[in-house]
Amino acid sequence: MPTIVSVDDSTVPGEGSSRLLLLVSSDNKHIVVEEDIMSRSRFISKQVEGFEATSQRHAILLPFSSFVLNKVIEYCSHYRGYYLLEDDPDAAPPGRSPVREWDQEFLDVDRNMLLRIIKAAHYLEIKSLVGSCARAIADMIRGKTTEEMREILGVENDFTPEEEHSPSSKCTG
Amino acid sequence: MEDGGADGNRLEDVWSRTLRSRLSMHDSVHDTRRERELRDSTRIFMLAERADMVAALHSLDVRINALSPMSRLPPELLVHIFSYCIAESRTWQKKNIGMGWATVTHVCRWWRQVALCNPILWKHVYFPLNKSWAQEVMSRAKSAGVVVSWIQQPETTQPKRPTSDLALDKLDGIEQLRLNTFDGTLNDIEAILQLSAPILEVVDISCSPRALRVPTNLFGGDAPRLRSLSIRGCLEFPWTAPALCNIVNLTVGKGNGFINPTRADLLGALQTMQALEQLALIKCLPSVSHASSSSLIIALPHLQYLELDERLMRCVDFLQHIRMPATGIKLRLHSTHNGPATDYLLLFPLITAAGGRTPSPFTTLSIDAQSRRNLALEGNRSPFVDFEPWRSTGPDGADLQLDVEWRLDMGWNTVDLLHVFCETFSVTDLQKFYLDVVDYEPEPHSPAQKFEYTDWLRVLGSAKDLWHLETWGHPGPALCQALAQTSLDGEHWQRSEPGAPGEAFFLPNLETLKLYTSRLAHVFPEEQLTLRKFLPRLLQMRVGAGLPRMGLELSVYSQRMEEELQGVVESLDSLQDADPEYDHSGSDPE
Repeated sequence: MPTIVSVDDSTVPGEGSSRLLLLVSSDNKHIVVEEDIMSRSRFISKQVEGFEATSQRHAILLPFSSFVLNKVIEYCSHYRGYYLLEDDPDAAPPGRSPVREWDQEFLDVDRNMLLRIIKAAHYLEIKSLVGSCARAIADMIRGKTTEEMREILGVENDFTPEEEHSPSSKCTG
Repeated sequence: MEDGGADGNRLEDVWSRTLRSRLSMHDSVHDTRRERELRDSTRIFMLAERADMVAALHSLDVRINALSPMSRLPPELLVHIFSYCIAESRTWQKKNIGMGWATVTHVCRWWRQVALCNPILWKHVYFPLNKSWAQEVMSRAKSAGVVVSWIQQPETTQPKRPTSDLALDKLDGIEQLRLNTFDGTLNDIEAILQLSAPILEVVDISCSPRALRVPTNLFGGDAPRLRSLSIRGCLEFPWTAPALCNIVNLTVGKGNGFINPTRADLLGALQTMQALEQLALIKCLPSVSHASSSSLIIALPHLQYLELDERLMRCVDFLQHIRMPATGIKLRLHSTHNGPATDYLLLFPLITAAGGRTPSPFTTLSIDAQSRRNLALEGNRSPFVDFEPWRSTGPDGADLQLDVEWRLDMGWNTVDLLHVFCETFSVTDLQKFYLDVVDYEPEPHSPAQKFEYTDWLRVLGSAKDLWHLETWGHPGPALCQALAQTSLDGEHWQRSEPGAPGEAFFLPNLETLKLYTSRLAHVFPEEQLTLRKFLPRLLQMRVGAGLPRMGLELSVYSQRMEEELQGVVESLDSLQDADPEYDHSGSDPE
């Protein structure tokens, strides 16, 4: 659960119809964003519903940096008002659907940034962004050998020799 | 004695030397053992030391990975990533990385743990795998119904593997079985098809060149969930097998040596398949000469799709003996015929009759007819001129959408069949039109006709609902003229004399125009027309008529694309200049 702090009205402009949200990143940056933009996030939507129930304004503290948060906001802004199939709760599991060109450019970032974005998207429950990031990571390792994958992902071989040579891990195809 | 003593001394010396040598050897034996013991103990010590170091290194690797963001991803995210890897697993197969996507389980312990704990990831088993690995994968799938696929590409360089490698000694946990081979390796599949299959739902087998003898006791009669069965390349097919009684989707394709069923056998079997929604019979209809004059007519009340790939007269015979639902049928006929092309005309009333109502019950009518004889209509009089029901477009036909797809390999009969079609059907409801005329030029003395402007007029003149127009090959200048005359503005659409040059087609709903041609810039001397000239004109008319600018998908496929599209692109650019909202991205060549 995120930490929620009460804020006064002067902190969050946009009374009434033009609703604004105050998001606070882990590096304590305050980012004001329109609620509509973040409606793609089920997490944010649920928080907003909670605010309405208590009739109190809150800032939402998020456990990732402003840099990552701004990337997520950029994604949500780009698809503001668009219906994305992956965000549908009844959407089918991942398949060979075509990659959105904009997403490809948007996620053309280094490995660590990609991981931060997918974690943030996961936290915020933005299924379409999680899917695009997962696909980007899958593309990074597609067709690679184990050693190549470890190198790409910065992961060490932490199997014991027994685990590495267990019969169940062997296959020759 | 002295001599003897001397001899004795010499002997003693010799003996002493030998003995010393022996003793020395004995000593060395003792030394070697000691050394060996020392070596062994040292080795044991060093091994232990190495094991400690390995353990320390391993511990270090574990701690390093604990810091690695990648190996700390939550399991649900990893499963998501793995799912995409599975969807693209052919990339691994192409690179001959035997484990395919399962290579990810060898990256680190966390990844392996996550992969092994999610049976759904192991649902799909792609052969060829070795037997032990296949069994391992199936065991990892646990209770998830397994989809077994062995799709062998014809150009594959993979080594041949016997069917025993399928490791299918039972079908208990298998939900779908999809096997497609081209090298005759499915030699043991008959035995597999006799096994009980309690959760099997889909079977799709295609094999060649050796045909498959599908056993009479298909799945031992125990396949209660079997809904879809497709077997292409049959030597024998058990039409009356109990496992087929609940079938919804059935495809049977003939293999070498196939014995066609009698009409009574086939109809009797289909009569028991009351849930049948899709039926495709490929080269396996009863021979007409074998058919008795039975008047048996069976009902297929839930049928939605019927595909017949067979000689024309066998199709005719089959259609005479079935009744289908009154609406919503998708019918695809691929028929060859060595007799007169006029025999194709037999199909039309049968199609109506099989539907049990008029007008046609079909949402899609696709006829792929091949005949080496031309269809000659005397005096352009259709045999259906008295067949009024086909001309009906009454309110009952409100849901009628005819997708007419004629693909005549050498252009034979295209025009003639089109004439028959136009005289027989009302095309006011036509929404999609495909025409495949592969460089059709009738021979000088052939009775076949050219595809003329008036032919287009017949098709498009009344088809105001047409939204998809697609042509393959080159239908001559008529298409240029037709496109040039296409009007998108109803006010300017006036009927003058039928077929007169200048008469316009009113196609306000046209959304897709696909032209596959190698003669985009070809100039026809008689008209000085080119498609290149008229494509922009068509687009200009759309803009002028105020039709949705984004609504037209224009695809032009030509061999000399850059050169031929030059004029089109320039014209489109000028359109764009005139109207900044105009988007011609759809005209980009592919």
